[in-house]
Amino acid sequence: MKKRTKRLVAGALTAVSIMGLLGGCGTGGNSSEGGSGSGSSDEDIVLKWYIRFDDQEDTQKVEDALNEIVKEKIGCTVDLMNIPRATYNDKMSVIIGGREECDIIFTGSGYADFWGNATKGAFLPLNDLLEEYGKETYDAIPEDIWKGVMIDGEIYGVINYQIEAKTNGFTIPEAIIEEFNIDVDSLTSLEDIEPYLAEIHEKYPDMVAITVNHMDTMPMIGYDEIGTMNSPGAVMIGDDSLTVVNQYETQEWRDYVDLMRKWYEAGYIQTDIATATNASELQMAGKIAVGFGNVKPGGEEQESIAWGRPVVQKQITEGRVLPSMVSATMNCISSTSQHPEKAMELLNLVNTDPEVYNLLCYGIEGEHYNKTGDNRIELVENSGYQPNVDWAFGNQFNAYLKGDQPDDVWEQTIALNESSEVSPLLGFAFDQEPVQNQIAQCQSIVDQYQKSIVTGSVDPDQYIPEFLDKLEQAGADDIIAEKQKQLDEWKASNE
Amino acid sequence: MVENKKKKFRTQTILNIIMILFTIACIYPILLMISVSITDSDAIYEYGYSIIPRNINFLAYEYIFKNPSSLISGYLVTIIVSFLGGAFSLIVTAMIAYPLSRPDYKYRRPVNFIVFFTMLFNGGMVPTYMVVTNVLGLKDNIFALILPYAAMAWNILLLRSFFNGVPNDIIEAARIDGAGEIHTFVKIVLPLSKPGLASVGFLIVLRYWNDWWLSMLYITDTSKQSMQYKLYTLMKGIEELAKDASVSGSMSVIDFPSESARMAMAFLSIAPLLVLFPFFQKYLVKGITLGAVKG
Repeated sequence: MKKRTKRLVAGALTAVSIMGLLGGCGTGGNSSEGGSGSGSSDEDIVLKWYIRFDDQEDTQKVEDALNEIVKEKIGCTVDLMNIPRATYNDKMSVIIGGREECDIIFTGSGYADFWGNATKGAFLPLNDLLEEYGKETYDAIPEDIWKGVMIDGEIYGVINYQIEAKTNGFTIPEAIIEEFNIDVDSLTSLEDIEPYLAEIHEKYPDMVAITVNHMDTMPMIGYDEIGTMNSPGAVMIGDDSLTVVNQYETQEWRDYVDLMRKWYEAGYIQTDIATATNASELQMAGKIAVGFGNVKPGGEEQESIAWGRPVVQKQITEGRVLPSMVSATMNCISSTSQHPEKAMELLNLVNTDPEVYNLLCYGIEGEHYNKTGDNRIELVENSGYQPNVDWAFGNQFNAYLKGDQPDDVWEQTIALNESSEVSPLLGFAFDQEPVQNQIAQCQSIVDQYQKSIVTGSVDPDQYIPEFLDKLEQAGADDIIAEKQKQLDEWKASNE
Repeated sequence: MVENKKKKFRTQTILNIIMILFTIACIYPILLMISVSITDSDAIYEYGYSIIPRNINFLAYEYIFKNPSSLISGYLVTIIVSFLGGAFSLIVTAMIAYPLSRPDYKYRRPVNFIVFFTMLFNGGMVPTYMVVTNVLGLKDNIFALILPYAAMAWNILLLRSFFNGVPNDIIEAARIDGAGEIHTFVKIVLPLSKPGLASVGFLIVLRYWNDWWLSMLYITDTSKQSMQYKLYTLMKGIEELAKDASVSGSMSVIDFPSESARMAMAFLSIAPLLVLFPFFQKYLVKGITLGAVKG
């Protein structure tokens, strides 16, 4: 009996290895096919670009129009392989994992796992290609910012240049400002809004006096997080020695939580904040008095639409270029590409030629949008092409202006990017490998506690010690030590 | 006599009440779902879910049917895959399960083990993807929606135990009467296992019907994607918008009736099965009772 099982297992293993061989043959065949293709002229080259937007009726039309220009300018054509946003990450993991031949892949720290795939060699290093075929694209973005997509000194992605600085502030509807006589200029910290919240709450007890976006707490209270958001280990802003600390143990975080708790108990925050997902609906329905979160140039106009009424924004923190912002969205060249030079030429074209870029973003003039000014457009409602992802294609500052965006919104944004302080961590890519188990464990504890603590939903005196204790058991100290070690090495090699 | 009747009446009433409650428990969520799907989303926010729709509108359906041809082709794909694929899968499953149920099959144990093994371990997502696309070349082919689920270990084992219920003597008798193996299988074993085939067949059809995963992996041509996949991308796409907002630092403004749309989609995905079920029910009930008698 036992012998039989053994024989069986051996058989199964043989079968598996044969399958492996077959698989190998399959890919081998593919690449040789591609190889023969590369010998022919440019005109036959079709660049495959995996990009993340939902299926549009007129994608083919736009692609044809795009190819007319692309063919004339760089002599090849593009195949836009759009994948719906809902499945992009799953689908790209098999496409990249399966070494499928393609040329350009849209990615970012939250899309198709940029850091993981770049370290595994799925993307080509781009320093030389940028130098030779993408000089203009390279020059349009400050050198400091390029550091944010480097691993060991090599750039791995062409950043879709957009707002790279994070600033926090208030968003308040004009009507509320008038009614409660809020002196917007006097608001310079989160606490300054408190007296007004009391008034608002007294007059409209049904209203949510304030909603706070808790995604960006750490930078706001003065810490740059390393690696995955919320994983233990951050560096205090302005600390040149780059000492890694547990951000949940800091006094700043405790103060912030205490403030939230105070507001929660006073009834300024909605009681189900920890689980609520209806913020935008509440906002639209006029049930929120004050919002706190990201603000940016042109944000007032944009948020006025999202709030369904005119709003005013007041920035209270200085802009800060964060690693997470820089690596948020980019296009990479796949290491399976047979034509990396052409792919770079195309990326350069998209990033520098407003005609090409706007065609990708908004479609064909007269059909999908109408020009209302020199550089201003109006989208045709319910047209067949509205991917709505300007930030996924290329340099956003080439985009036409829409709606109420101020004329100089891009100049303002560029100025903000360039004037903002750059996080000293930019260019440091944390390798999670040595502590990935601890990170996974800590992540589940963070998921369990962080949101209810930070929203003030639970008593911090009881839950913060419990949270810290669990984090320590899950190996937070190992993570912090590993972060410190890698950071020190990186710092030493940079000097 | 009278006593007896009274008693019978009482048990009847109690049974009826239980059954009525049970029926309500089954139907209420479906009615609620339909009601919510046609309620104005502001009203949902204001008053919560209610069985009688307030401020009726069909915005959710309008949104989903903005592109009707896409949804209709999705339905067609789902129906073809569910029924043709389901029939094919049932045949394959039965043909694997039958030999496994025969004690005189020499390689019963190893084959059994191989089938069982796939329940515990599989090739993993990327290798499977490579086999289907590179080795079998099924990318963008409707067979990619059928073949991966054609032989599921669980269904094979289930059907095998149904076939085990066919007495060996009948099979012996057939052989003595001169029936070949195929003849025995088709004319004797399959008809005797109808209830089993019906239950397993139903499981298979359901699996194909509810699947969006295969469409996601293997199909990029929108005319070959299943309906469930299209609904999934529509719904999940809304959730992904929040992530995009944090990346682009802005909220794309969409006037999307998310609560009611969720319900509308759920309704659309089960509606055809609701219509079909009464026709199938006959066989299912028969299947259950037949199985019970044999038990």
